[in-house]
Amino acid sequence: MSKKAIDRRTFLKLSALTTVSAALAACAGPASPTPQPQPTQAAATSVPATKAPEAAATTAPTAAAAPKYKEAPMLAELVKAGKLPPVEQRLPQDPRVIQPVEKIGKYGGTWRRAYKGVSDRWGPTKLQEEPMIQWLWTNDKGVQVTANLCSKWEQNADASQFTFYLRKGIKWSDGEEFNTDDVKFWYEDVLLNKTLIPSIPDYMRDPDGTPMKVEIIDKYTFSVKYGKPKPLLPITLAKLTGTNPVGPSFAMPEHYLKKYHEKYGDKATIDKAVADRKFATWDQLWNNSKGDLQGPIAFWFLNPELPVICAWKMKVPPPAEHMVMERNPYFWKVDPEGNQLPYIDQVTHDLFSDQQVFNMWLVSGKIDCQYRYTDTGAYTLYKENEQKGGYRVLRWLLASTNAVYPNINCPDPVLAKLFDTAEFRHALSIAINRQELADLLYNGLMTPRQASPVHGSPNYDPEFEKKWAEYDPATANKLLDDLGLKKGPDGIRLRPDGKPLEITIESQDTPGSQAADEGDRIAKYWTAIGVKTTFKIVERSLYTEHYQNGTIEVGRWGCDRNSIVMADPGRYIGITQDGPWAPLYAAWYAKAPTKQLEPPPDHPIRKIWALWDQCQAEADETKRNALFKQLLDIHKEHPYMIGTVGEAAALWIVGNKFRNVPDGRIEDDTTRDEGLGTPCQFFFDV
Amino acid sequence: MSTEVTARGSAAPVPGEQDVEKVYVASQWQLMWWRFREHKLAVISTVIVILFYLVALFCEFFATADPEAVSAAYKNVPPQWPRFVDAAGRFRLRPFVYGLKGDRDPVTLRMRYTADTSRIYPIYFFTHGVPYKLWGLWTTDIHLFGLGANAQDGQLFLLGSDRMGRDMYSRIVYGARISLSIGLVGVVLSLILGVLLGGISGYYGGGVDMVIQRVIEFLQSMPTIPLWMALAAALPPKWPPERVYFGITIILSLLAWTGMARVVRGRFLALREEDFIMAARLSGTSEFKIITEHMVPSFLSHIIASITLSIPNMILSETSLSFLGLGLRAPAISWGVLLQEAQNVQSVALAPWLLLPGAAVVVAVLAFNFMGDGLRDAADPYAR
Amino acid sequence: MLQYILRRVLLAIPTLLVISIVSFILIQLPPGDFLSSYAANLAATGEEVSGEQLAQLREAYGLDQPIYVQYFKWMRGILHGDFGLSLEWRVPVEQLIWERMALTVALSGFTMIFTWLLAIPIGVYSATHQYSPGDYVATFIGFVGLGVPSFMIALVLMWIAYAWFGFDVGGLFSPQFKDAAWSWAKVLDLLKHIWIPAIILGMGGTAGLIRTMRANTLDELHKPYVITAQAKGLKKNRLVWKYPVRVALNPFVSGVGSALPNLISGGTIVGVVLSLPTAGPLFLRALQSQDMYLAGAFILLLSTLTVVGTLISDILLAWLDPRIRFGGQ
Repeated sequence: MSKKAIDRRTFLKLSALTTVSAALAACAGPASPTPQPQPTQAAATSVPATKAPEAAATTAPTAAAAPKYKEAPMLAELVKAGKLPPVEQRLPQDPRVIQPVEKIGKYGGTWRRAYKGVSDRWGPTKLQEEPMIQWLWTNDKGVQVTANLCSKWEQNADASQFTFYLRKGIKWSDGEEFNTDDVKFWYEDVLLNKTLIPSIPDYMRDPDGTPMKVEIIDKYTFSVKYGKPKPLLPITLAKLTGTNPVGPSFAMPEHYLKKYHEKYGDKATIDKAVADRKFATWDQLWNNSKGDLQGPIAFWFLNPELPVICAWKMKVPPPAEHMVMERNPYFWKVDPEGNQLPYIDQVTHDLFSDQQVFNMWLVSGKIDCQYRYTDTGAYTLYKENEQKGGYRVLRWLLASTNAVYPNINCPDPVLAKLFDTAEFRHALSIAINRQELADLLYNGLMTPRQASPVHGSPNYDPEFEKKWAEYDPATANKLLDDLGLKKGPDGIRLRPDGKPLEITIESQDTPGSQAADEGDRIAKYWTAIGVKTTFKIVERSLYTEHYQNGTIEVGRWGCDRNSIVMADPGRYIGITQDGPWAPLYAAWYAKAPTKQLEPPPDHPIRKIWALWDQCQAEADETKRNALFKQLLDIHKEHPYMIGTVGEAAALWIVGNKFRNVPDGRIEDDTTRDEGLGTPCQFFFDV
Repeated sequence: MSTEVTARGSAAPVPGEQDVEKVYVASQWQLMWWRFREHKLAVISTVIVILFYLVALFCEFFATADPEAVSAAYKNVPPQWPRFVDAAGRFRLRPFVYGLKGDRDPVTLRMRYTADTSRIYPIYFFTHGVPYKLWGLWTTDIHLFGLGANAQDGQLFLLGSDRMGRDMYSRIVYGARISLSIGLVGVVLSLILGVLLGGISGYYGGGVDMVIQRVIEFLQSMPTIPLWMALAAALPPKWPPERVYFGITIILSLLAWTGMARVVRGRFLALREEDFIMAARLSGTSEFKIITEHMVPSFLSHIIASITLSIPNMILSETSLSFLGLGLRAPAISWGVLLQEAQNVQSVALAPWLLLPGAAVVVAVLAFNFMGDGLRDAADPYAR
Repeated sequence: MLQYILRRVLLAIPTLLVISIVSFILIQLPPGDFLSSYAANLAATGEEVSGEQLAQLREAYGLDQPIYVQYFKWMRGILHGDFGLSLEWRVPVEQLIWERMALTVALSGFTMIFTWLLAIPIGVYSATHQYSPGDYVATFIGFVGLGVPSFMIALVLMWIAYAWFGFDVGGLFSPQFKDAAWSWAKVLDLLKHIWIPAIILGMGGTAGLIRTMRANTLDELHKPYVITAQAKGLKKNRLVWKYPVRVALNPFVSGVGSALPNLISGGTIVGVVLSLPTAGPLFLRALQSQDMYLAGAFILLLSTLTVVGTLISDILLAWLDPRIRFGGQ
């Protein structure tokens, strides 16, 4: 690199930094930390960053001669050979600029990872989802939403209409332009096609079932209209990528998929594709299960031919032993210096089934960067082999708390009533010695706390975290005595109907795991205060059966999605049934096809649901946050989900040459796991 | 398999006149015993087997601690060897261990233990320790050895401790009880079934033989793992883990009898044509007497050898089932469960003493095999 | 002779039919079905499948129909050569099994060669030098291999290979060869990786073989013809290998019956621990996730191999020993 270029580079960096910090200072206005639409999104990242190259262009006199964008050497060769258009034509008019975590990266390299097979689609998918609106991690304000596929979006006063302005000139991975034709195709021929999608997901329709209306305004603008307000749409889009895993939301590649659509495609082609795979109907090419769009044609994970807009394209699909993804030459993001992302040429995943083999790969340095499937129980092993394996261990914060869920719908009426009594749950909660669990089982890698939003969540509440989380068996005994549960001669209390008080905690944990050990210890703590408890591990499918028909007494499972809770409050509402504190009530609320039970009219859960319904319709952000806080406060007052230890260290094993990987972020499905680290800007520093 | 083959011992030293007399008049069992005695390895192995069962019977007495007592302060302690010479170079008659000082490495979170030479805990024999109920009947607190009732902070981790600070030695001793006993029932059942059905098949031949043979073939053709899984799943989920495993071993024995049956059938087929059977028949002995008094004793050796050789198979199957998640599970304590808990890289790399239950399994299996070998060698004293 | 063979072959067919029915039932016995374990697995990685989606999947896969209907559909497919689609892998069952066959047979072949190369000489040596220290050591080593749980030794060896020798562990190939076409380089790579699994798998078999060889050879060594040959001046070594060993190998013929299915399923537990791309782990996984068609196809395959193997060994035995042929009369 010539000396001039280096100077320019440093200058760019400085100007980018100053403009970004100025912009951040400017939008420090709104106090509430929840994701905000209109006011901040325009200022989030795209605006200040695009200023930088322009600023450089006006100051450095020779800038006009240098190319605006740069590309990977392997692509430059293809351009020279005439197989690819030059990078300026491949990128949109205003590509999204991604700020690197550490520094500007270098091109090249193959990122080695591991996966478990065809069903492990979320691991690779979450690395590169491209929704219309995406999460953005900020170091001071936690997780925000930002415009991603669109350059900006607008919503009307009551949040019933959203207008999206697509970036002009984004191209699919085969060079065709991505514009509202793809949106129209998706809306009319996929979403509204009853064969492909029999039931529309709830964030794309009104509560009464009316689908949203998509209106195409021009080639790059469209709007989405609902009958009732949908203020949570932005965070819902950031959490999901629409009915189309990996994105884009609200669109699919029309020019390719039309060939396989019953309405447009050539019948012979479709019939052949169906017969080749031994399917029965054409929609099986699109769907794995109806409406999920994960069939072998429509799913990027299985179809290397499908045009995509994400960073890497599938090259050798699963269930290959060695699955390969290759860079998308039309990827529409750049770094602040105009280098087209991603830096890394290839991502490969090797197949494994046994956790110990994966641990061996990790410690021997065969994995370049991965969080998924790392094992906190092996923390010491990972740390001790850092030098030999040539990697470092990063720790993110898992937005989850281990919890037990007394089922207020269990078939035994006496137990159900006891579980629904706040004092009883209080006693159960304070009988658990959380500090001992943390020391004994987790070597301090988990924190004693109540099941509540974690540090870094906009809903974090230190009082909620401490509620009923102390260790006080004396008070626990007193509470149970006051409830009239007298101790029998063997120390076990008697129920109001005279029978001994015995309960079973069920879980689908792996025997021998730390979670299973925890279940055993909880059973011992509860037995010590006179509630005879057995901890039982059951087969996964059996666990599902038990919570779906409500026969489980106490469940044990992680209470996750505790980062941006409003994006997925299923645990607090009860509809995430594998934490079964009220599985049958929740099924009634969600009108699920499994067993339902209507709660009495004065039950607190009705208030929870009422508040949630209001939240979903409240366009004003401040009011909405206040309503949601009320919802959480109902849980805070008398927790239904008894948390033990949480905020586990989510371990990342990262090779020493692998850079731009952030440390200390939140790990949650809501924030898309590893995706929150923006993998397209990872690079190999060789 | 190799159970059908008879091994031959070496030539015994040429007996003198009187010895020849003794040999001539000795009963079959006496001959067997003399023969068996010569096989030194078999004798040692038998002693070991008896010892193992003694330990299994009195496991609470042999253990030094409560196998379920956890301790956050003493996780993954390496084995503590009893010493005889202290730091000052003095020899002590009574073995002792030093106190433990634990330090957690702040970076790797690994616990490192050093011996605190200022605290000495002598080991006493027939001492008081953790109280227990022997066979659920008598309450006592006498243990074979331990640190005694007065050792406050003292820890005796002869074979180290596991990830929750539980004493491995005590856990292995308790595990012996379940691992060694639970296979016995299955083996006896499969023995009865095998001899019965194999005998009928071989003796009567014809249609009966054909049917039983098909059944055997059918059962042997089914791969074992799906059978294990299906049967494990078919048992009522309400059962406690021990009863479930018991149920599985019984069902497994309903499959294992086929091996024994084939051998017995083969033997019967061959023996049927033997001269001495024909002689017995001609002299008017009843069929039943022929079978019980003449045929069975001639392959009794196989039966005995087979039993002793199937017990180690049961022990190994138990470990395999635990590995697959179908056998016993925590909090039950068996060697299979202990191995399952140690089946991870961090145990192999950082706490290899957790694999010691594997050594117990190997020793038990070897001992049974050598014992069975010796029995088989000795069981056919008339053959040369 | 021909009559005997024909009879056995005809009897094999109803056996296989019964096996197919029983195995189909067995796969369904565990509670739930493929979809419930599928949903549970997804839940474990933080994703949810709604009850509605499950119901639709169930219909799509035909899992909502009664068991005999599913069975007949499956049988009908098989008679047309269609073994169905694997529910978990979403590819035809034949493809999955076939892909792994070559490697499975290669591994089993290696293991067998390793076992024989080791066990037969040791067994013969043991027999000819009975009760010598060498005999005891050989017997002991053989037995240790018999008594050690295979999954434990697999993990330990895997760790030792990496920690002490820096070897590549897990799987049978280095990443670049995994899906590549066969070439000499790939074969070399396979050889580099295959020896750990072969050793572990061979350990148990070696012990049994050593004992059997030893016992059989001992049997033969005391027969009169051996003494005669020695008296006539034949060198001991040549004598031993030329005659008694050959006779001692006879009982192995009956072992052929179980060798065939063992080719496929023998290395299951070790294959799981070492993550080998062989048939055994695939089979186990199919059972655990109740992937009916894949598991069913495997069971049929294994049972057929067993029946065929037993048939072959019975025929061989009958050819060797006429008494058995006429035994039923």
